[in-house]
Order: sequence, then C-alpha cells, then structure tokens
Amino acid sequence: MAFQNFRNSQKSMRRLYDAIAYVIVACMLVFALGPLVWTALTSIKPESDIVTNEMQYIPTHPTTEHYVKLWNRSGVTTMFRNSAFTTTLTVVLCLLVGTFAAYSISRYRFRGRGGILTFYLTIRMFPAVLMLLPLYIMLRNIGLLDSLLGLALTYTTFSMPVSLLMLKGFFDAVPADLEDAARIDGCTRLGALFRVVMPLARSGIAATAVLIAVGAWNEFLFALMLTNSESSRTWPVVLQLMVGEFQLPWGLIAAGGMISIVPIIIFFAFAQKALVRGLMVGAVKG
Amino acid sequence: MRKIAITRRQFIKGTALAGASAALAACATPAPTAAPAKKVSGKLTYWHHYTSESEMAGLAEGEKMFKAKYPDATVESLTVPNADFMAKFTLAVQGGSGKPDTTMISADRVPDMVGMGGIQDLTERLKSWDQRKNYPDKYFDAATINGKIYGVPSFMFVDWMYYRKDWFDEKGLKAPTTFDEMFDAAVKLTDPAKGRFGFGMRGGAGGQGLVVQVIRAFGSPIVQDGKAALDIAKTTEALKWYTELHTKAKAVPPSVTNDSFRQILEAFQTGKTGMLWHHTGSLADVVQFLGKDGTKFLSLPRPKGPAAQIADWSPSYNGIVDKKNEDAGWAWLTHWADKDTQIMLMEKTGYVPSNQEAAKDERITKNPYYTAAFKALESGTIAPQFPGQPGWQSSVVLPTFQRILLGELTPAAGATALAKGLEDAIAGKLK
Repeated sequence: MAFQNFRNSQKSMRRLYDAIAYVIVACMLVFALGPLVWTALTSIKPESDIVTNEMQYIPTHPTTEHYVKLWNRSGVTTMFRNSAFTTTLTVVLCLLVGTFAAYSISRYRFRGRGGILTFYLTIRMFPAVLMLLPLYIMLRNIGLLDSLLGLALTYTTFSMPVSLLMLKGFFDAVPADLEDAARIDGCTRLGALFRVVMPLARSGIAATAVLIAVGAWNEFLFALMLTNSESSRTWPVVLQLMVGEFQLPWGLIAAGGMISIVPIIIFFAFAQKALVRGLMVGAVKG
Repeated sequence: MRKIAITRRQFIKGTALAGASAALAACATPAPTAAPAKKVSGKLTYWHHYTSESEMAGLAEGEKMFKAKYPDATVESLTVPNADFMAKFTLAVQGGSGKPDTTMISADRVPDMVGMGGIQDLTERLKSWDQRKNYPDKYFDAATINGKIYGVPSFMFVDWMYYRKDWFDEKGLKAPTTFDEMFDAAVKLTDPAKGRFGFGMRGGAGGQGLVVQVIRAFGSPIVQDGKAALDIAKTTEALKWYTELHTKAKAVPPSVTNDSFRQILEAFQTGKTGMLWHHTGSLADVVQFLGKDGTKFLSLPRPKGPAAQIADWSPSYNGIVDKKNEDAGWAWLTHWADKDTQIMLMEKTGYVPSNQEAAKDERITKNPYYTAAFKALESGTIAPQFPGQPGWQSSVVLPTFQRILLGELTPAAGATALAKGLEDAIAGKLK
C-alpha cells in the first residue's frame, strides 16, 4: 500500500514536472515566435488596422498592398539581387579560401601555426567601425569602392576568422588515418582533401556556409558606408531607409522584414540536417 | 587718310604684351558667378536624408523640375539615413574619394562639416544672387562660420501645434492662443470614458526640448553671456504649469513618461488626444489619417506663454561639397531655393518654404495649414545653442521633468536641479 502510494505520488510529481516543462517551453515559444508572428500579421494588415485606438490583433481585411508597394519601389529589386550576389560571393570566397587555410592549419605542423589563428582572431576583436576608413581608402585605391566585389571582399575579411576556426575544428574531427589510407591508394594531398576529408566534413562546411550567409545577408554598416550609388546598395540598407524621421510606415517595414527572412529560411531548410549534424560534430570529439 | 606706321620692333613688343596679358587672364581664377550657370550638363550627385514616401515624392518632383530647366544635366541623388549621415559624409571627405557634388546640411551640422573642409564657402555667390532679397539675414545665421556662409536654405522646420477642430467645435471652444486657454481647453476636452485626453504631452524621448521652450515662454533665460541664467522662480512656474496638465488636470494620457514622437503622433492620429505640439514636418503624416479638408484638425502657431510666444524654427540647407562641379552645384542649390520648387516640396511634405516670396503665393495664402506655418515662422527664432546643451537637455531636463510627472519631485525642486545641471553642463562637469 505504502509502495503504491509512493508510486502514485511519484507519477503525479512527474506529471507536475512535465506540465511545468511544457509551460516553460510554451513561454519560450511565445517569446521566440511572438515578434515573428506579430511582424507577419502587421505585414498583411491595412494601415487602418495598424495605427488604431484599440489594438487590432487579427487583420480585418488581410492585404498584400505593403508587399506590392515595397516591391514596386524603385531600386528595391536591384538591391535584393545585390544582396543575393554579395552573399553568394562571400560564402564562395570564404569557403574556398577558408577550406584550404583550415585544412593546412589542421594537418600541417609549421612555425607560426598558432600565431596565424591568433592573428585571425585579433581581426575580430576590433569593432568594424574602426576599420571603416582604412578599408574605404584601400578599396578606393584598388578601384573597388562602390562595387559589389569590394563589399564581398570586405565581408570575407570579417567572416574568414570564424569560418577558419569552425572549419579547422571539423577537419580536426576527421581521422588522419583515412587520409593516409587514401594516399597509400594513390591519392594526392588535394585528392585526399576533396575525395575523403571534405565529404566527411560536409556537415561542418554547410554549417559554416549558413553562418557566413546569415552574417553577409544582414550586414548594414559596410553596405551603407562603402557604397555610394543606389545601384550597388543591398537589402539591409533598403530596410533602414524605410524608417523615416517623421513617418514610420509599419506595414511596409513589416513586409520588408518578412521578405528579408525568406532567403535565410530557404537556406536553412536546405542546410538544416547538415547544420545540426555539423554543430554536433564540432561539439564532441575523441 | 592718315597712315599709322608701326615698326617691326613695335609690332613684336605689342604682340608679346598682348600674349602675356591673354596668358595671365587665362591663368587667373574666374570669379564665381552668382546666376545659375546657363549651361549645366553632366552628372550631379546629391546626398540627402529624405526617407519617407512624401519626402521622396518631393525630391523626385524637384529633380524633374531641375531636368526641365537643365535638360543636359542628370542628378544622381543618394539617400543616407539621418543617423548615419555624418559618419558617411566624414568617411567620404576624409577618404578623399566618393564625396558628392552637393549635400543637404542640417543646421546643427554646419560647424562640423566646415571644420573638416567638407563644404564650400558660398559668400561671394550669395552677394550677387538675385533671390537673396527674399531671404532674411537670420535664415543664414546657422550656416555662417567666421563671417562666411556655407549653405542656402531649402526649407524650414517650424514649431506649431495641431488641434482637433471637431472636438473643439463639439465643446464650443475656440482655438487656444495662450497657455491659459490651452490648459483650459485640455481639461474640457478630456473625457476618460471616451478614451479622450486634451493634450498629447511628450514626456518620453525628445520631450526635453519642449520643456525648455515652456521655461522660455515663462520668461526665464537659459544662458546669458555664456553663463547659466535659469531664473528659479520662473522655471518653477513653468514646470508647475506644464506638469499639472498631467499631475493635477489628468488631461494627458497616463503613459506620458514613455510617450515619444511616435506615441504622441499616433495618439493624435487615432483620436486619443485633442492637441499636439510638434513642427511642420509631421503635417503629411497627420493629413494621411485626419484628412486635409480642415474639418477634423487644424494647425496653429504655438500659444503665447505668460512672458513670450516661443516657437523655434530650424532651416535645412543645401551646400556644395566638390569644387569640381561647382557651377552645376550652384544651379542645384538655387533650384531648391526657388519659390516654385519650395512650394511644391511643401505640398508634398509640409516643409515650410524659406523663400519669403512663397508666402504671397496663392497656393499658400488659400491653404489654412500653410498660412499657419508662415505665421509661426514670423514669431519664431532659432533655439538657443550653447556648449553642453545636448547633454543638459537629455540627461538633466528630461529625467527631472519625468520625476515631476511621476510625483517624485516638486516643480521647485525640479527647477533647482535644472539650474544646477545647467551650471555643470556649461562647465563641462556633467556626469
């Protein structure tokens, strides 16, 4: 009897803990998704539902007018394209250079190996705004000021340290014996990298690519400061320019926000599996 | 007929002299011409911080009008968010490349832009400019450094107030012209059952400027001869009058201490408040919600305080950055100083023309909103500027004002705190 009571009380305690856990998870979900849902709803509300005396949670007459208006603004499609191009180029450059650099640091033992990593980390320690003037002058001197290539190179500079560190971690996790076996079978060093190491580390490479892409897609400071014409500006600048000094078109801003997260969601959808696996690989070694 | 005999030696001397004179004339720097260049061609770049739809529509129309005047010229304008404007401008000037031919200049940025050598002296051009007579000297004050003028006013922000005409009519009230009338109207318009409050007070971010204006309207100076000159008795009276709209009359929304520009504007737009103090820059946004037929709302110059009617105005200038394209730049500047361009901009945005000829134009005289703006402009001044002012206003005036609103301080204690803070700010000791 006493044992039965003990088991019953244990069961009810477990139920209580489960209920508390669900409440906590639900609260976290509300906090995490709330702003997103609110933005999505605002983006389809007519202006009369947005600025109201009483809060209008659900749109009375859902509309796509903000999306249409935004897309028809001059230069918006160009800036969206510019962002896509700059982000893609940054990811490609970072992965191309970062893969070789990370592989060398992971596999070779040479003088200054540790110093290189420290040097890369040091770059990250300076606030981006401090780098503006030197970067501006350098880009001007090589004729890349106000160009998408110049912007992508700048993003690459700032994304490289993190991608290098991440990729090195993933390459470290691939056993060197597999590579040795490939080399005994006749593979060159590069052949072993492409045929053995990279396929095994693809989850990590995908995770790195996602992080670089998110950073480049959302970057605002350099996009504003290093471009001087509408034709080379990117999407985050468009979003910022919607915020007027005396006017705030909430619907338009919400629509812009929703559009800006679409590419990232699509990218995540494709890279999700690899991303999760990649993060796990980096976490556990041995 | 008498023959003029010239020897070969005389001919060579004369030719040499003429040649040297011609060469000297060619080397001399041509004096800048005041009239817009007749032949303006090529690309002209312009940086500005217009962002809203109405501002962009005004800019686009202005560019179209410029193109009609100068068909061979192309304007490439670039929007730079106001908050990042100086960072980008500094970068372009210091970086030595990528700077625009012309730029928009806020009055408070002139010293910095001149200090870095970013904008050109326009004094000589202005002396012989045919429109100069339509611009009072005081409009150039904020663009003048060491006697040299660096900007041409393109429009003005003028402080005024909005009021709900329909609410006033309902209660049989007349539009307020004094602080007492305004207080009385705020009390009578307040009806918590209907969710109505008489006045939309800005007690959050940005409200500090209005507090200082009320203090000035009660007759207290702020700074005299570079020294703190706040009159404690008058400041106490001012703070008492202003805060009692909330603490005693309950005639402002209870959220007052959190209400910044967006909140007070939206409260007015959505029928929560009956009066609002702002400047002409928000007209387009108010019209969007309340219409422009004059039945729901009207605008007025700010009411008179016990000692003075205080309404500040602030000009927005255009200036030349790059000397290489100076003539075209001058044409662009004078285009935006032209009466017709400015009236067009006012119709699109509500920004008040700085060209006084505009005040006589039918498009202005027949519009009650615009005439109110010009009336406000007549009585207005530039807000007093002194070292330490931004810090004093944001870290002393606003928090003190909020504490009085919350009942943590009395107006008298608040006035003493403001005076102490002002002395510290001027002495550079503000923590």
